[in-house]
Amino acid sequence: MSIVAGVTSEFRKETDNDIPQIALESAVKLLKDTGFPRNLVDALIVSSCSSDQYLSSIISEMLGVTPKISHRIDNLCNSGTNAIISAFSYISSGLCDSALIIGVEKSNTVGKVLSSDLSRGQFTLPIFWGSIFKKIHMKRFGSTEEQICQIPVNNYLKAKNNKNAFNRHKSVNLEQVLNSRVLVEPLKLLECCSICEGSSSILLIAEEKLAFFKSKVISKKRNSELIPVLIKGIGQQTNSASFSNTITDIFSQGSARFAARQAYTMARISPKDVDTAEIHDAFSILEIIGYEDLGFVKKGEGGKFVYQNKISINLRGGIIGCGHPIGVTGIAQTVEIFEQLTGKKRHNLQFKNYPKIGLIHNLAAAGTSGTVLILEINH
Amino acid sequence: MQKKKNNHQKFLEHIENGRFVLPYCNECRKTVWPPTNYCRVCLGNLAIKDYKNKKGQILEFFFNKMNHNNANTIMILVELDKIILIGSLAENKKNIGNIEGKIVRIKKCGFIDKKIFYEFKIVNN
Repeated sequence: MSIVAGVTSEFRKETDNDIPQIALESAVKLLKDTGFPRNLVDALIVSSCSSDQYLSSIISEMLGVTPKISHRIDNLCNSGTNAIISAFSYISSGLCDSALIIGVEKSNTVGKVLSSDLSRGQFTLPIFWGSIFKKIHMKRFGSTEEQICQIPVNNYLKAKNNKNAFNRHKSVNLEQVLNSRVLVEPLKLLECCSICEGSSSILLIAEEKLAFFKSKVISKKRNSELIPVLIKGIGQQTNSASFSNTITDIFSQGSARFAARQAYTMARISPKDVDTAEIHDAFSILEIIGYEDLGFVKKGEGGKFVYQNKISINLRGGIIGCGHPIGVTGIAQTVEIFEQLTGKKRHNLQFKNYPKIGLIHNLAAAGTSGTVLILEINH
Repeated sequence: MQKKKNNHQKFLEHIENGRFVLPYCNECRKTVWPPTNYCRVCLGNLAIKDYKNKKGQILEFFFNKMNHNNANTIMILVELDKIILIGSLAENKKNIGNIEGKIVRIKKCGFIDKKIFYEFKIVNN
């Protein structure tokens, strides 16, 4: 299974555009840039937490695509990678040879708050569990404010080189993060992502059909050749939905920990083989827990890993730097790794000139579910 | 004819009336979460029961400064019969000290701005 193209739109504040129009921004660019024939799109899957109905069919119609399979995936912040897994399954099973996956969100999305979780009481905003995770991690493992607050410093810096990032015009230093307004102790304003608007699209094809699709593609655009990046590993785990049933073991048996194990096994690699990673940093502490769940360090040692220089992490700016259009994030993360592996995007801050293996880590609802994807390119 | 309410509806109704209840499985003989008709452990029938113990333990506490006008709201993580809820503390003192491990009793519950809330009070024993 190969990813052969990906496009992410600008992430921005709310505009008057409706969901389908925002979706078209990345999808039309992908189809035009690659010259991929629309009559060869077998599946069109939309990832979004919007309350709009029948989105995938509406977007298919607007794109002039008549897919065999078309539906929407909603799994909160984890939606994007979940949609990719669904497409992977359709192609693997032989139901389809190609799938266009489109993530789209507005900043007023209903996915911002999981109001059905009664165990959160009145504290429904994600920021409350973000503060709980941070305080417990600091107390239990001794991670420091300086270590945790270094995450936004790193990710804002990287976002400056990303023309689509929500926070591309902003830079922050450690002192500013440490002194930013405390929202819920110990979590500070600059440690939190911004929910925003945007879209991202990605094209998957059956590996054995690459030559066929290449022969059908007509594009005058430079650098538009279909370069395949393999999806080598997939891991996904749902532990629960409510905070009550996840907080007891989030630091030892979190969903992403299981997902990572599954993905490494499927890809037949170990954490030390990863060259570049996109880690879900909706709050700074999540990136540190991510290091641990992905096996880059032992449990509790994530704080020290902030200063490492072996694995390129969140080079597009992470969720803190880029913003968080909820249903889009997992796809945008995957597009980023795809672009790094194919050399379509190079970063000043990357540790390897030619990364070979990239990883995507995507969470939902206080880590109640998590997904890990592993991509590989054969240089 | 009046429709029979499911456990989720019953739970919300009790809380709205200020009566603190939790889902209890008669087969597992324990409190389970979430409040639905079936136990997530054994799939047996759940019942919504008064939480007779009335007490829980603070696992962690947090100063919530989201509301500018009420800077000292204290959010607490409370364990009640192995169920963990996020609630608030009735006392809003800034210098409350370390209250981790303290025993609390439900003081009030209900709805505020269409959101469910659980308010606890520290007790001596």
